[in-house]
Amino acid sequence: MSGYLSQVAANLLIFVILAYAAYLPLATGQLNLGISGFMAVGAYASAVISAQLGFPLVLCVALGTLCAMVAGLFVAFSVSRMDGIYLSLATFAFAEVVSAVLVNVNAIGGADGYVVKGYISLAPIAITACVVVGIVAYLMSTRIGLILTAVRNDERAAAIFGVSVPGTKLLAVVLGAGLAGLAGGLYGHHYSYIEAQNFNFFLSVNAVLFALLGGIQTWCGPLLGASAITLIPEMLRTSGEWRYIGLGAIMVVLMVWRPEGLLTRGVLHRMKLKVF
Amino acid sequence: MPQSGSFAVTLALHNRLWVCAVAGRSGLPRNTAVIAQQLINGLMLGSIYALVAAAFALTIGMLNFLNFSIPGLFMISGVVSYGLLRAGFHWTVAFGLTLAVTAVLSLVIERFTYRWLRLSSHHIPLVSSLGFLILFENSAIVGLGSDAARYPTPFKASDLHIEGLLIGVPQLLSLGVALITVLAISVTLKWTKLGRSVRSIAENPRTAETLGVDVNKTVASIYLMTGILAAVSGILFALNYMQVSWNMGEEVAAKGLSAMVLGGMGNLWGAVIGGFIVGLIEIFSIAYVSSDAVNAVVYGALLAILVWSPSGLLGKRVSTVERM
Repeated sequence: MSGYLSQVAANLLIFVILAYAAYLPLATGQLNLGISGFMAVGAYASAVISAQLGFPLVLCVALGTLCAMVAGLFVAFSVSRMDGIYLSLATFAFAEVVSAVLVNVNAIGGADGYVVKGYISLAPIAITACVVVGIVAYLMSTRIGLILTAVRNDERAAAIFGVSVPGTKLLAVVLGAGLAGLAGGLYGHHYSYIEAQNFNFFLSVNAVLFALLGGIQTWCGPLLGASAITLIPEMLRTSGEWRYIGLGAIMVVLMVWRPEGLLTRGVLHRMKLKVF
Repeated sequence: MPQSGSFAVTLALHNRLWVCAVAGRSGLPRNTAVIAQQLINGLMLGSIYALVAAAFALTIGMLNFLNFSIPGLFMISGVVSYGLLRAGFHWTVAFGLTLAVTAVLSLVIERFTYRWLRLSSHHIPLVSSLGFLILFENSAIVGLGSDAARYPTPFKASDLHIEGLLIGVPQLLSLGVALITVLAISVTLKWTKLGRSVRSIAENPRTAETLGVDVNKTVASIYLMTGILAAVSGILFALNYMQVSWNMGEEVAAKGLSAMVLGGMGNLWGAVIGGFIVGLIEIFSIAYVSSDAVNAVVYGALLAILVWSPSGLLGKRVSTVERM
């Protein structure tokens, strides 16, 4: 595989994981605007553990994921009493704090970035991404998936049927943060270099877009969204600005035309695909 | 969002050097002069944050909608007025046309984020407004290039020198214009028929519609007010820092958002007070701590407020989830 293709493939696989990081909170009707913050936590935690303690890479990435989940728990728990918009704001603030702190702490490179020890090649990333998609697909077919969807469709009705709404929302955010941390760990070890500027607000927005444009009714939506948004501009070989102008226009129009995303239950039903 | 408050840093450093140079021959003791100058800079920066925060507060308070197209409108107004001034228009014409363009754009945004989306879930408008932000910013890159452009100063250099302090005319202007704009909007909301309709929509759109409020028209007017706040702050920002760039809105909007939360979610005057506080925090932490610490301090404060005191300074109620 040529360098260019493997680059695109690695980006795509990491974006797929990020799309699911945004998808899980969205499946309960919550919007996490700080995916990049959780990704940075995962990436830096995994890189520091690998450099300082020399654990095996699998363990490093797993611990990075755990750190991101703890951060997610902290943020989501502290605003769990409030309206949905507070979660969006708090996650946004969290991501800004993380990147501001990372720039300032010189022990982990500060603004110069951090060189990551231990290399993860493309194949393990591909396997991880497939496992993530598989786990989310399985999760959505179980009782948990039903509960998530119930909370998104009608919180009150779900509560009447005995669903713990705050607990479900918390679970979705924490799992999503964990996936973002996992993506961060893989990203850091694959590219061998991370800097705070990589984990910016635009990345969080992209992750949310993957999920929303693909569609959040079924587990296949984010996969389609991430693939389409990553691959189509690559195939068209368009220049940067026009690509993003197109993306912005498509976002605006698609939210009006298909607010539930491209791949909805109805579409899948018409295509006679029994995937869920 | 960008990592350092580059505009503010440049300005603060510039003024600090200037103050150090003049303070020696001024009437005030050197230390007092420095602090007073920082205070002036902080209030000036704060007035821009206050306007942006007020724009956020309007859409959150009235429509419960986090409008991310505000930084886009802020930037567009800076860039459009830059283009018009460059084309040789008088500043009154240029700023008037800029306000008109922003008003039209806010009506377009209203169609795409409210009117045609009324049945969708609450995070969809937010995502559409992000779409507008991406659209505006990249259009600006195509039109302006990715470097910052130097903004022409339409006013004669007429800085006031009082007791060794440097007060620029744009600085005074921004403070005055910011307060007058917010005052005008808050008077409109409080005393006029339009204001009553807006507040009824904030209470409950469905009931308001049943009672004969023209929801579409009223919401459009909220978007217009938001657009004008963003446009005014964009022009003032460009005048003060004498440059425009495609991403000038991001940092300011993030700080404005923090200011809005600090003042109390959705409270107009709270947002103004929050704006001034954030401006002062920023200028003083650049002067006395370090320019890198600004973002950590401001966003740390935002997170802390959200966690411990989500109603902010002036917020009355917090929309909590139902206890189930």
